[in-house]
Amino acid sequence: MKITINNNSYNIPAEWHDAPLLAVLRDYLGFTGTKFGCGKGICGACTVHINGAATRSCILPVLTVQDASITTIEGLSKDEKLHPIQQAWIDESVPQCGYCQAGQMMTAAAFLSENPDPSTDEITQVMSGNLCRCGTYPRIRRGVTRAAEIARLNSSL
Amino acid sequence: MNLSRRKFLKRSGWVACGVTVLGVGGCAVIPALPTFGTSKEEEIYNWVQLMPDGRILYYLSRAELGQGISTGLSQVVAEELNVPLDLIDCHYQSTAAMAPCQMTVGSQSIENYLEQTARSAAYLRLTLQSLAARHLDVQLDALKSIEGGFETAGGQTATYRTLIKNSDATITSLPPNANVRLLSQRKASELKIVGKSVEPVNIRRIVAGQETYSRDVILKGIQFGAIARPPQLGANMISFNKKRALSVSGVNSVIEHDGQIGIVATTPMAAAKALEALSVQWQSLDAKQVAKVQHSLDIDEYLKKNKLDHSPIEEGSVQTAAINAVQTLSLRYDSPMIAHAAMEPRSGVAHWQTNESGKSRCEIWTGSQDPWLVQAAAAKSLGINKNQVMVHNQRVGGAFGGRVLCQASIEAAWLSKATGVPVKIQWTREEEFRYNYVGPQYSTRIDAGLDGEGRITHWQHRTVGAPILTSSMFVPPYLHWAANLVADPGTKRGMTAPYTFANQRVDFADERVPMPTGPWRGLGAAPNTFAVECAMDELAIAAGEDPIEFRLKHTDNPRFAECLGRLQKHIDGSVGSMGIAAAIYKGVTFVATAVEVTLLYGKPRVSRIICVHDCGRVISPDQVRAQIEGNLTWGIGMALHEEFKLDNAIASTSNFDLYQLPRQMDVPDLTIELVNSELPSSGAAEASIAPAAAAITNAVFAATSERHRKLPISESKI
Repeated sequence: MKITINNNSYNIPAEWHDAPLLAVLRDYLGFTGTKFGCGKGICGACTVHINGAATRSCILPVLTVQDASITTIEGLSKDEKLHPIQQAWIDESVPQCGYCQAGQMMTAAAFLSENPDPSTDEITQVMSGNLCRCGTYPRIRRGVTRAAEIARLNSSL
Repeated sequence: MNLSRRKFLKRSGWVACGVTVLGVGGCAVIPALPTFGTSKEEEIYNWVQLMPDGRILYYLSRAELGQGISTGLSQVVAEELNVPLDLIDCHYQSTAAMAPCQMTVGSQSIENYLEQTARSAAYLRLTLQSLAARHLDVQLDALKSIEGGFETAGGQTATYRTLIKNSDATITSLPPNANVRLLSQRKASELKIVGKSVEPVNIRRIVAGQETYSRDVILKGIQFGAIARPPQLGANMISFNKKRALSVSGVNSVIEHDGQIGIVATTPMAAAKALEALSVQWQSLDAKQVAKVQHSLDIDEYLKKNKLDHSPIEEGSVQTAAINAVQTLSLRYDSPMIAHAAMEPRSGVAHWQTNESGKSRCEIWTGSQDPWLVQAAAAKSLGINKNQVMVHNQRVGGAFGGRVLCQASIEAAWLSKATGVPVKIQWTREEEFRYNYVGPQYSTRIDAGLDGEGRITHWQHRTVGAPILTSSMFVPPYLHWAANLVADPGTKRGMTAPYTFANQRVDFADERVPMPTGPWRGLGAAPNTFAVECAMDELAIAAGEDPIEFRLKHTDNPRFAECLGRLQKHIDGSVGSMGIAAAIYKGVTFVATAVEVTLLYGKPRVSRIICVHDCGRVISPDQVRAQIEGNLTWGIGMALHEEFKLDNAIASTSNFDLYQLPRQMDVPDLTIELVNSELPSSGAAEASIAPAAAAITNAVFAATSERHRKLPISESKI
């Protein structure tokens, strides 16, 4: 079995075929930027992109994504240039412990690619599925707004 | 090693943190010290080192838990050395690289480690200054510090890079010199980096998914462990089927150790399957045992049968003053057991190795508020000396008091010893909720009265809670009798009202409940302030007074009054629609908070929070703001949603579907004002949680005229 992560193809041996995607990413391939939070798809810490859509990898059997294009936080930036979400997260100093932030950023990045100019209400709504215990929520809202501005600026250059 | 005989230390081959360093320099000979004391002068000299490439290596003395201490203290190092912040390479704690440091608890890092960190960096600066004097052949005091080096009046310069050039050694600092002038303690106007908001240390690693938490540590040949745990609290193991577990494909071993049983397997799925196949039978608790676990603390019931053991405050006479009161109130407040629910469930990696001469050692990667406690606990569990255990602390994915010990690391250690392979233990979310300790339940009765002028005549505060610092997590059963005699400083934190009352009495008891209790962000500060500040609100209303004016009338503390005064300016007349609460945290940090609540589909939602905060001189303003934002968010959870529940002696709130954390939609934009002063810096990581839940509860009253005295509010009917 093969899966495609960040545009690279990886062989997955038989003993990992019964695993959720998250375990394969973290414990077999070493893509540890994606985090385990709850194991039930509730908290969003394990969010990755499956064909561009934000998806919870902790409850997703690896067998179901053989033909998919998977993007993890390690593959969010292209050509060494920070993704607008990553730049905005730095500009707004969003993370505290940082553990949930990969999931937050992957959710936000997928959302912005669908909706490049969201309202604060829309941001609040879509980001309410990702838990953060440290309490970075207001900064996450500002971060998403700022990332949208950065993306618009980049595309107008 | 006699440091005082050496001008400076030269060491070749210093190995960076996170990599095995056995027997390097003086580190291995420094005896392990208890980690509740602050560091000694002779232990701090090697925290800050100049590396051959001209960069500064800085061993962070504190655990980075998300509180931003790596940023704040790196700013201090940069200021002392007069270098840009990005020249500092901040490394997390390692027992192999530094002498034990006080555990990272109680918002004490800035209070206890600010000056020591500054001294450590300043010693290096002095070392370099003496080298520069020799290099330029001038007197020491002819040199002035400039960015990255020194300069004479005549314009001759010596940079740090020049001084270390042609050497593969690192330069560490001078032996202690009590007279060193600390550049980071100059007036605010003279500071370059301290007191400024900066890009947080390691934020670029975090946003790229590259920062390593203990759960992310991978070693070659690593295998995965799982531990059998009782569903009911305190249930004993009756039987298990080892043979069946061993028959699961991918299983390496089934190991019994100190009454526990664990699995090691080549994949986490195989470990989980084998744990199921092990079919452990657990004793079922009888009705009496279940009732004991389910027992809820109730101050009124407690007072019927017992005396409160501890009386931290007895002033004037409550009984006499009560006679003169024109109004008396008897108010009962309750807050439930509460979980840390950090986003990273704890995890540990351990590697037991024995060399050709038969000497063994265990290397551990952990995420803990006290890696030296992990070292000691692992050594004890493994039956070896502490100096055979090396612990590398990683960034922690949230701690909040719940990570003083990282049990997963100890479990990984004995599994690695038994199998000889590196082992990783990754707690599930359910394990994280069920098998750690929780913040205890509090039940309080406050009796107070008012005179004709709206002044408080008397104040009697009676509480039953559970042990925090003397809890069963830290004190072995054979010492419980002694621990029970101690008035637990954690339980009573915040029980002293920040007001002057002529007649007051505070009594409390710690009841050792079966569910392990322990430190939770701010310890007793939040639950105790909930009772104190809701009672103050009810008294202000009974007196017909403005809640801020009422508080000001009862305090003579200028910093506390200043916070309340500034809060008043923010609110500007709209006080009637807002809930107010304030606190003095540990006697050193001052907080005043106002909250507005609106109803959405009949449920309270926090729509506005204002917080005025005085922690003296602010080292890293944006990091302090972030901590306050976190505390206020925790207040929302505590007031409205959070309750750790047991059902049939089983922790039933075992994942985020049943234990409700605040979500994005629950937290409004927050207005925070820092009272920045030249007074000594005090802690900020827990202070503002103290009044948060009380302010929200008082705001619910302002919005609905309904008084809630039992948390969480969403559990009771609005």
